[in-house]
This record gives sequence, C-alpha cells and structure tokens, in this order.
Amino acid sequence: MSTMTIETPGVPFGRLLRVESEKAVDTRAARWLIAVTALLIIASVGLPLGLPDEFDQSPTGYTGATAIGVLSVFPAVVILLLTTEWTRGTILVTFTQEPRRLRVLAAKGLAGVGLGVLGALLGFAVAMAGVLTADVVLGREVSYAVESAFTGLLAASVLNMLMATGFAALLQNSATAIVVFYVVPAIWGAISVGVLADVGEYLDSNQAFQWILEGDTAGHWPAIFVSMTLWIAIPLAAGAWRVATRDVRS
Amino acid sequence: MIEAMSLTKRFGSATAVADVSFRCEPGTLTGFVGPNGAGKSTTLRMICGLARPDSGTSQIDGVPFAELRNPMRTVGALLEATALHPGRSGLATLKRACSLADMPDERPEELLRLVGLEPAAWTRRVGDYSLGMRQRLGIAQALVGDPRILILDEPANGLDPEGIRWMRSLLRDFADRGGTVLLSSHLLAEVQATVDRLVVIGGGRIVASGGLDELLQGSGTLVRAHDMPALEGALRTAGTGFARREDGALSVDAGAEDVGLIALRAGVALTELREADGGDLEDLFFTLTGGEPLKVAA
Repeated sequence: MSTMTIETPGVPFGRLLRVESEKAVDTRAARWLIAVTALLIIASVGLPLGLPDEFDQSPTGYTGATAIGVLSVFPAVVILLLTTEWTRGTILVTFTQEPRRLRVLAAKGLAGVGLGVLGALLGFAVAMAGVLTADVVLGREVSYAVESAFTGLLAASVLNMLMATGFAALLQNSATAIVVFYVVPAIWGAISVGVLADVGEYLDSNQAFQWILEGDTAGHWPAIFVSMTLWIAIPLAAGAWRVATRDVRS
Repeated sequence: MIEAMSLTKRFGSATAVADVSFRCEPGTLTGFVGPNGAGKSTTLRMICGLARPDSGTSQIDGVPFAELRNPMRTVGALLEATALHPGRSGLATLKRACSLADMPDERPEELLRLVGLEPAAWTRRVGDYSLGMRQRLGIAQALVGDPRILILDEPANGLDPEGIRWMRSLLRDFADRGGTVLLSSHLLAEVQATVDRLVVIGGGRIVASGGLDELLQGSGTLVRAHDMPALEGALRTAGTGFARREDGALSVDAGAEDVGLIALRAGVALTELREADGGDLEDLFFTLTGGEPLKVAA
C-alpha cells in the first residue's frame, strides 16, 4: 500500500493577514468601537479650536488633541480580535485552519497595527483640517510646520496597538485584558511619585507615549526604551509563548 | 490516513487519555465511541494539534497535524458546533474559510446547498441558528477545502432523525469515494449503522477496537432454553465457554449450529437461538466501558 502525498503550499501570510483584518472589523462590537474612535477624533479637535490659550495653534498642538481619540478606544478592537477567539472557542477552528499559531498571532497583531496606521492618518488629517479652520475661519495666527506631528502620532498609535496585542495574547480573556490594558498603566502613573518618581519615568508607559507623541525624545531614549520593553516587548514575548503552547480546551 | 500512537494526556494528577493507539485507513468510516468524559474530545484535539500530548504522537497522512500546510485541503475538522462566531452569517463564515483555503468563490453556496441549509438562513447570523443548523454549517466548514480526511466530534448532536440519516449517507458516500472518516459519539446506536470500524474508549483507555463484524462475532451466540440448568450442564460437558446474561439468556462462545447440536444431544428444548446481533454490541459496550449503559437517546 502506498500513501499518496500531495505537496500543498501553505497559506501565504498575506492571505492570513487579509482574513484576520476582515475578522477585526466585521463584528458589531468592532464596528461600534471604530465609529466611536472616529467620533472621538473629530470631537477632540474641538479642544484646540475652543481653547486656543491651552493648545499650540500648530499641527503638533492639534495632533496632541486628536491623539486622545486615536489612542484611547482603538486598542480594544485588537484586544477583542485576539481574546474573543479564546472566549468564544473559535480558536479551535482558527488553529485547525492554520496550525502555525505564531503566524496567526502575527497576522492579528499586524491587523491591529494596520488599524493603528489608519487611526494616525485620520487623526493627522483631522488635526490639519482643524489648523486650517483656525486659520481661515477663525482668523487665528497659526503655524503649518508639521515637524513631528505626524510621525509622533503614527509611532504612538502603532506602539499602542502592539501593547494591546501583547496584553491580549498574554491574558486571552476580553474583560481581563481590557481592564489591565486601561487601568494598570494609569495606576502606575498615579503611584509613581516621591521616591518612585525617578525610577517611575523609566517604567511609565503614559509618559513614554507622551514623549513619543510630542517628538520630545531627546534625552529620553533610555527611559522610552526601558518602558517600551516592559510594557510592549515583554508582554508580547510572553503572550506569544502562551499562544504557542496553550492547549485549546472546551 | 489518521494514526494515533500511544497518545497520553494528563490534567494534573488525573490521566484523561492513556496510551491510545489506533489507525483509520482511507475508504473507512471509524466510530470513536465511549461514555461522556471517556477522553474522546481530548484525543481528537491532540490529533488536531490543539492539545499537546504528555507522550505519544499522532499523524495525518504521515505528518503531525501542526506540520500540515493549508490543512483544510487535507483534513476537515468539526470539533465543536458552537465554535462559530455568532455575529457572522453562515455564508460569511464559509466565505472566510474558502478564501483562506484558496477555494473558488462558488464553493460556499455549493456547500450550503450540500448540507441542506435553506437559502433564507445563509445570510442570517449564526447566533440565530439552531444547534442542528450549526452542525450542518460546521460540516460545511469542514468540507471547505475538499479534504480527504474528516474528523468530527459528536457531529450528530442536535440533529433531528432526518438530519442524522442525511449525515450518515454523506459520510458513507465520503468514505466510499476513498475518504477517511473518524467520528465520535457517546451513543453507540447512533454510529453502529454507519461505521465499518469501532474504537471503543472507556476511562481514557481503548477497551476494544476492530471491524464492526469482528466485534459482533466476539459476543458469540445467544441461547435460551426452558430448562436452563440442563442447558448449562450440557455446555459444560461439551467444554464450551459461556456467560450468563442479565436477561437470563446465555452468551456462548460457539456458533449457533454447534450450540443447537449440543442441546439436541442433551435433549434440551431451546426457546431462542441466534447469532448475537447489534443489541448485544450494546451489552458488549456496557461491559467494556464498565460505566453506565449507553442507551439510545429518547
């Protein structure tokens, strides 16, 4: 008896990425989160328009405001993309269709990064429209020097999505991942005062994101590097290990 | 071909699956039966690369599942009918699987027709499907890549009698065209009419496996007489082994003809004499698993 072996080419990564990107946005929850994000981005431009004394009338000043919309709700989309697979049990199907688990995780993470890029583009476009409005409609004196307005927003948005991917991969539960992602960095920010203040900036993800966003990186690279390692690289690595090794049980 | 080689899985100190080995050849339909909690799902998940065995290995056409490239083209799996996203429609679910497996665009509708889902249901959310409809969609999803192997965990759950008959003929046809089918069930009667081979699992261990005929033969001849003690005496004299059944009849390790001749020589009038049939397989099942009897679901 002979066994016929047919060499089947594997699923190309691009196809997996396309499928995971579709999965990221085709649920009701995801559509709501994306709509809320778009609304937040548009609404947040009202801050520099309404409070000209508090915000620089420049692209950086305006992206500082739209970043609130870009960075706040979007991570929940990638968290849900990862965690609902485990909580609903669909990971069973996903891994029998593509058993190379780390490729699935990479596709999901990249789908999230893609969303992060789109969010940054929208945040920047809305910010520029805000500056234009301030200039033309409100007749304010504005600056059009883009400087790090776009690159800062883009970097912060992408890193933010990667951080969400790491937390989701590690915790594999929607509620836990969302709570930990949103609450723990805030708690850390609140307690890193006094003695912890000096060490704190090395470990505070919010501070690092602020520097990246504002392009205020000179002299802060070591702190940014340490906090990004702690909040992004380590959760991502541990999450990848957990995804690769965890048994799928009902 | 599906091959399980000494699969063992422990959860903490409890051994869920112990040294499970079997093989499913192309063209055959194997029933994997045992009571709930016997280790069927755990075994199937190990075969599908979803759970790591503590020892032992398994292979699909000679390679571990996790090393299959585009596995949908080789093996279709339905491990849990509820593992479908409730927010997507049946059609969308299949379209996604088809695009991943690189199958033609007309495949999803073809499959939905094949599994007998009404066109009105195609675009409805899976969350609104009955369990039976999900099973049908799950089978459609397993068939997406036109595989030559099917692994189905309790696929008859939630199907009505018509649905069960439909699934039987679908799987029979699949095997007759050279496919390999492994399906599990906690109801022996459900698979008995369909399968060629049985692998019986109880308490995490294989307690019997082989062709359906073989397993049936093993249970011998069923015989009953007016004078049971005389019949037992005659059998003892003839040196033929037997066992008393719960219903009072004897299960004899000999053919019906031999048993009849032994009774004739001893002058014992028989009231029943027949080859053990499917009903006895159920007794065998009961004995083998040592657990609750596996009756047909009401």
